Amino acid sequence: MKGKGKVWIFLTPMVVLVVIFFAIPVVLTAILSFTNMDYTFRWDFIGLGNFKDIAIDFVIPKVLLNTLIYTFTTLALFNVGCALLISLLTTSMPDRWGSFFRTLWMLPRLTPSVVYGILWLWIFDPTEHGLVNFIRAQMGMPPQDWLHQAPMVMIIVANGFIGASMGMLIFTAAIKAIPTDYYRAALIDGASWWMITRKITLPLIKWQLLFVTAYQTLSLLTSFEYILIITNGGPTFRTEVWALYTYHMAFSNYRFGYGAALSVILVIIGIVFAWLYLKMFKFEDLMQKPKVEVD
Amino acid sequence: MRKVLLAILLVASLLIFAGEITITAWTVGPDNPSFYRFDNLKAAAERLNKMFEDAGVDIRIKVEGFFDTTDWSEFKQRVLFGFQSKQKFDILCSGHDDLGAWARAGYLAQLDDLVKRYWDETYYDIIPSLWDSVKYKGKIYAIPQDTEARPFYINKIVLKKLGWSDEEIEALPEKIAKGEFTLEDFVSIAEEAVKKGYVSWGLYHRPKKGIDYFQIFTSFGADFYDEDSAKFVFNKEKMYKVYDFFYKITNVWKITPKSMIGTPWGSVHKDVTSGKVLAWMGGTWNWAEWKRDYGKTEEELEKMFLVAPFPKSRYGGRPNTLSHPVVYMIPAHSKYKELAFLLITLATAPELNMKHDVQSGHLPIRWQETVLPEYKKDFIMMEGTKILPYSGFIPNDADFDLFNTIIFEGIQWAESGKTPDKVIELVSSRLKNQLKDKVIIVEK
Repeated sequence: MKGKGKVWIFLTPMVVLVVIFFAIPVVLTAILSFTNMDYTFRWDFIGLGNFKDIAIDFVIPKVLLNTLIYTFTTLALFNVGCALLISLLTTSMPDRWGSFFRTLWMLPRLTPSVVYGILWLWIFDPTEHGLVNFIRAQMGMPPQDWLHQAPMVMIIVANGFIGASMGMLIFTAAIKAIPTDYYRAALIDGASWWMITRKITLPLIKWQLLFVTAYQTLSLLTSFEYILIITNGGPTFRTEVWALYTYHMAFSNYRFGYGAALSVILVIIGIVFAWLYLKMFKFEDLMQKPKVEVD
Repeated sequence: MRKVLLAILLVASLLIFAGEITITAWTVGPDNPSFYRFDNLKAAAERLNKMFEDAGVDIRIKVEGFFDTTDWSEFKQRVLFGFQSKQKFDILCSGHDDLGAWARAGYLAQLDDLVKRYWDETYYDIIPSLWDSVKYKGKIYAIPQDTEARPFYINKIVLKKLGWSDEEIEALPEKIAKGEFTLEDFVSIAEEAVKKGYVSWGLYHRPKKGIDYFQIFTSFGADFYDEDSAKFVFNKEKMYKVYDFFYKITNVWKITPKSMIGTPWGSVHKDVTSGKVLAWMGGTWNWAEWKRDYGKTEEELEKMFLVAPFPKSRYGGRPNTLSHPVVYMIPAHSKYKELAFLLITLATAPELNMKHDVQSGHLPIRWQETVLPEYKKDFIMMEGTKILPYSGFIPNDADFDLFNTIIFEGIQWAESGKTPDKVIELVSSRLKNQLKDKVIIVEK
């Protein structure tokens, strides 16, 4: 079979899957956003009605701000920041210890999300029945209501502990793929650990940094399961992020049309961020063919 | 009984070629002890099978399905998508307040004719007020499965520590019922109990969205539904008092923790049953939960709690409680509507329903149950029935859940420290935005 035929044979299964599970739902969601579909599942078209309602929904600015704080703080501190730090540190120590610490960071990822969420609820239960407050009580200290006093911190940390592991794996693999000659040469030249990291490691894992940053941004923008379990967006919208608000509108209040309109906006926000990242990381330069041929 | 037997034979003759028929029932607690909502249907099927056997009819009924103990909202979500995707279920058990939305959407079978058919045998005996809870636009869409009261549980041991005599304690429910002891009187006592260190908190209410809060609206005389226009009502002046109450219990009087909303259920019940709280706005079913899941004995509970209606405010309203009958419904898409109804009718037998009441702390739906020996032995059932005359229902309106969600957001705002003025402004704006012309905002 000739070249083009082969390409289509290999591509067709995935194209079909993408059309069924991505393209069609996206189109349906976009159409749904112009209806006031509720629990009756009727397609009553109301034009831009939902978008007008969103424009005057006073909860929206709060939700948008929460989303930005949650996404970028989790991203900076954990999903990229902490992941990169763990990778740099664990690749700088003997492999046995490096693997041990990386395995520790993988444990939250291995826990089912509902169990993980409930564990957090139990640990930070505001009464003396919670783990932290039980320990405090043994030391004669009064119980603290962590989930109420700093709910955003709680959900960032809860998400971060899980989110860091993915970046950690990718960065570690990328660092380990860097030829050791570079490091040896740098060491002979007297470069410090910090210099080596800044001048060799980071530039050589720029592609992975772009990928993890972009992927995790989009992932955090749309993820809400841990927030749903731990705070359910509360108290009083303090942890209500865009994706969770969409879920609440669609699946708690059964305003599917309104929920669809919210998700259409979220898709647009996601596209804007993806485009910004491609510009920031100079995606086109990264995609250019290497100037030196390596065989 | 002859009529029921005839009906059974009629149904059987229609299904004569069917052999074994599976009736699928989706039932819910979510409290664990309410499992008879499902088990009674299985018992009804056994009775029916026995009748078939005796009559020589070669048909057997099998009941399948589940009893859900997760959460109301998850269960309702599952049901809604079940309706939409026409999953096989023939009997549905849920709160009466769901039938407004589901009947409007055409998901439920109308049951007036079937109720009429079995009226003289079974349904004449249902406590009349319960029929209001199963109607939508005047038509019957469900059969009551149980009812309940939401007592105001006050810790008698703490009242004693505060210097109350036994006579004063015993007379308190009556005083509350007559409106002589108000919500404001309770707040003073709660503040005193907390200050003296007898309890950590004066008042606990449910930690999640739900309908219990509507009792407080009634206490302040804030009506929330206009039956004539079938619209929700948000009276700013009256609701100000309600939100002011929620604001003050956590921020001024400090008799309720600011973290109340969001505290896990288990911790709430542990605190209430271990005497750390003066009063709990609970339900009769809690009694069964406390015995089953929190290690309390009947004697301990009776010694600890008095059961009263929720007090009225000094500034209006009335003492009250709220019933939320759980009901059996039949999906419009069920293939076996008549058979499903027959099973529900048999499961409504007084002795079966009483088993559920005793096990789960709910109240009878039939007069015949109140003469059974189990009823007379059961403290919470007797006490709960006493406060039923103060009971009201939430409306069977399709948009009730959305209205409730927004009202609850206001409660969260007030308890977390937003002033009542601000809360009124936010809630009314959100109600207008979400419910549009389905809500009447009364300025004064």
